[in-house]
Amino acid sequence: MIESFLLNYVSSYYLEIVILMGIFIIAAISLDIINGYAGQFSIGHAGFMAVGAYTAAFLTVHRQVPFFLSLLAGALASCLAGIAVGFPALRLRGDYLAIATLGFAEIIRIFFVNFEPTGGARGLAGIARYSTFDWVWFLTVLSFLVLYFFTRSSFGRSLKALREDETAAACIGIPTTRYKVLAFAISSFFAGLSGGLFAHSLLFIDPSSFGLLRSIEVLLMIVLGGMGNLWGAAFGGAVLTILPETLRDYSGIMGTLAVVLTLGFVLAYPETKDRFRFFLTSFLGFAALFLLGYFGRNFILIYVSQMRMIVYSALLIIMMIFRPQGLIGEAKFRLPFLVKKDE
Amino acid sequence: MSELLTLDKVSKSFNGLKAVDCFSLALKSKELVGLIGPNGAGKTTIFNLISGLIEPTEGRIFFDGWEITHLKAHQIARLGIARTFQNIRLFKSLTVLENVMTACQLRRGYTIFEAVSRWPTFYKKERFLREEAMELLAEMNLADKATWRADSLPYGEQRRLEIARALALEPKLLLLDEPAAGMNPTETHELMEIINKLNTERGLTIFLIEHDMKVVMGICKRVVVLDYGVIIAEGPPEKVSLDPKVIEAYLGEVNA
Repeated sequence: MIESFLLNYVSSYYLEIVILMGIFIIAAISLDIINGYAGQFSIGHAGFMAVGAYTAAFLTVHRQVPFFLSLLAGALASCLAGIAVGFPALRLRGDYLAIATLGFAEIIRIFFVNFEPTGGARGLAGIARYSTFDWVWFLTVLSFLVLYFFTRSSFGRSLKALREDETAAACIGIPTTRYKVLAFAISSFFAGLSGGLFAHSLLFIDPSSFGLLRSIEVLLMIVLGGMGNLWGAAFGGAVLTILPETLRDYSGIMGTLAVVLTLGFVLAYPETKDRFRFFLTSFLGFAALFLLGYFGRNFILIYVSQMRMIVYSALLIIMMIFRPQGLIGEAKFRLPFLVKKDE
Repeated sequence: MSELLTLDKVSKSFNGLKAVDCFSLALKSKELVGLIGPNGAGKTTIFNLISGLIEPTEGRIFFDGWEITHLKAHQIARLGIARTFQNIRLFKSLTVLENVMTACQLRRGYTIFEAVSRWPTFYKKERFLREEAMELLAEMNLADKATWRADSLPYGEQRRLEIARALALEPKLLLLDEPAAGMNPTETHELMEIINKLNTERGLTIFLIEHDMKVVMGICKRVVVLDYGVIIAEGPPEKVSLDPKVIEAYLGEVNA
């Protein structure tokens, strides 16, 4: 519906990026429940996405189950996997939990390498393109709202209490075990949903789509945007989906640099009294960018676009040095129509 | 008056080291009892045993007619034992109000469905929680700082916030682990008044560990002295402070 309307104005390449953006926003905000709110450290998110992707794709391809029901089945399967991981996770903390979730994701991946009904290592092909713009963004907004309301309730507060001080949380009657499992269950449900959408957008999945790198990618999204804040996770998800694409060509690189520069200046001068220096330095910055673009076009075309993954990594390192709390940090936005004033 | 808390020959050893040895104690309802003793005497261990953070190696603990020896910390909190900690344990990045609300919501919960769908009852219950937490903050003179981050409060106020959070459980028994530690004389005086008020007006049973003898002498009606995990004296504070065994434990042997 909206998709055919949008296709009048943009090419299907851009539309696919926007669709992927929605899918990764769901993945990032769901991981934020475990890592940001509950304060547990999980780097096995791709494992949950794999369970959701394979379950949903298998059902639509081999069992002709309607798309929405398959998605739901994938999400529920992933939720069960999350609960299964949640229990051993109760005994582990910090680094040890991270290794355990990493191991879990690898087990899932290797399971699918050897599981013939879903194509084994050859992957599962012939998936229909059900993940349209409408479906993906409808579910992205819905997931965001559900998790937003969840985190802004007594449950979100209890999870944050657990993160801040487990002993004190137990002593005011928060069942810490149950809440950790709950965090894993909810998070993996939405990870599975995102996996299902992912499969029906790429039309082909194989175990290598859900390796360690995918987990780290999702982790980077929430670190970039700011942990413990759904807005930050969603923002990080959006930025890190677009960034590798924009770094492909000249105008994209210049555009990215301009946006980074603008953000840099805004963040560097939060006080309004620095206005003069703000304008002066940003003028000089943009002048330098213009000169670089004008005289260095060939240089950028030859070197930078070849090194786009290096640029991408360098941006992340710079970011961690100058703004470790993430781009959004703790800034809060309210949904004015849905949240009452005193909340 | 009936007995609220009973510890029956409770022992706890950590790898052979007996931290608490055959400790028996009965607290009556509405009593205000102090637990004192030199460093490392096992006072905090006793609090950890009562609040369920650790399990005793031997002996049994009863509270309000229930055996709580093997219950988990959150179950014991639900039964009505609240505590504060020697090294303040607030939820640092949460606001002052949220700190108290997390404890209030134990009794006034709602389901996940109500929260996620923003059902009308959600707003009602959430407002209830907020009002209740604000009342407690007002009682502790913290109402004007409700929106502050908990770790931005000055030290004395952090201690008061911890007490407010404990009170939000509507406990029958309150355990205070060195509530006056690190406070200046004015803050200490204010704290003594608060504790006294909680005991007399709310009728709360209070068990407190304290090093500041002025506090212990000033408010406790009964004092238990602990040394190396064993009770060495018990009774009214004036009597206990003259006990030669207590003086010895604190200052060393007279003839040495």
